[in-house]
Amino acid sequence: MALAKIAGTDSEAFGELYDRHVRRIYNYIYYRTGNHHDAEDLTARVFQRALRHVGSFEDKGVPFTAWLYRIAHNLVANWHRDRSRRPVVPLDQHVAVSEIAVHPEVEAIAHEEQGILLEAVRKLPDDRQQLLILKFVERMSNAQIGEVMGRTEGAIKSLYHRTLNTLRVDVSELEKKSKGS
Amino acid sequence: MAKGFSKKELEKMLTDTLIPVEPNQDYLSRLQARLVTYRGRSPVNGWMIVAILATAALIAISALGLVMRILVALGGFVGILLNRRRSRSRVDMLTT
Repeated sequence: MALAKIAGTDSEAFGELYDRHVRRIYNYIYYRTGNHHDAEDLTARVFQRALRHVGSFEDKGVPFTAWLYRIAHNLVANWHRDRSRRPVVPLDQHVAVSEIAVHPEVEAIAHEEQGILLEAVRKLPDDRQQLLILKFVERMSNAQIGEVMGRTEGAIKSLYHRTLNTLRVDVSELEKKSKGS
Repeated sequence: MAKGFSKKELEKMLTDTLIPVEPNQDYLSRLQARLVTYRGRSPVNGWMIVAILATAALIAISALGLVMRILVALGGFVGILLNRRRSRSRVDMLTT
C-alpha cells in the first residue's frame, strides 16, 4: 500500500503497481467486453486514469486493487452504455477460450458448452458478472470480492448462490434454444 | 451439458470456462512505456511552461521591434515624398 502512496510522484513505483495489476485488470475487462481489442483499449484507459489520480489515492478501507477494479468497472459500464446505442457483434468472444482450452481432444464439445455458458454469464447483471469473474478468473475469496465490490462477505456469499441459481436456469434455456434451432 | 445439472457441475463448468487470458506482451510493454511518457508530458513539468513563456515573450519582442522599424521606415518615406512636393511647389511659384 505504501507503493500506492509514492506512485503519484515516483515513476518506478507506478511501474511496479502496473506490473502487479495489469493482467488482473485486463482479464476482468476481457471477460466483461468479450474481445481483446476493447480489453486493450479499456485497460489502457484504466491505468491512464489511475496515473492521473493515484496522487490523491488514500486507503480509507478500500485497497488499491479494489480502487483499480472500480475504475475498470465504471469504464466498462460506460462502454456497455455507449455500445447499446450502436450495437456491434464481437468476433473473437469464443476464440480466446478455445486457444487456452485445457483438453484439446474435447475442444469441439467444450467449445459449444463454453459458448452457451459465456452467453448466459454476459446476460447477467453487471454486479453478478463481476462476482463470477473475480471468483473464477481471479480466484478471489468472498472477503476479497467484498472489498472490491464494497459489500460484506455474507452479502457476496448470498449473491453468489442467487447468481448460480439464475445461471442454471439461463443455461438450460439457452441449451434448449440451441438444440431447437 | 445435462439438463438439470448440480451446483458443483455448474461450478466446474465455470472453472473450465472462465480461465485467465494472457494479454499480448508487446501491448503490455507499449502501454507501460506510454504511461511513463504520459507522466513526463503532464502539466506539472514547470520548466516546460517557463521555456514556452520565455520563447513566446522573445518572439513578441522581436516582432514588435520589426513593426516599429517598418513604421519608422514608412514615416521616413512619407517625409521624403512630402519634402519633394514642397520643393517642387516652391520652384513652380518662383518660375511663375
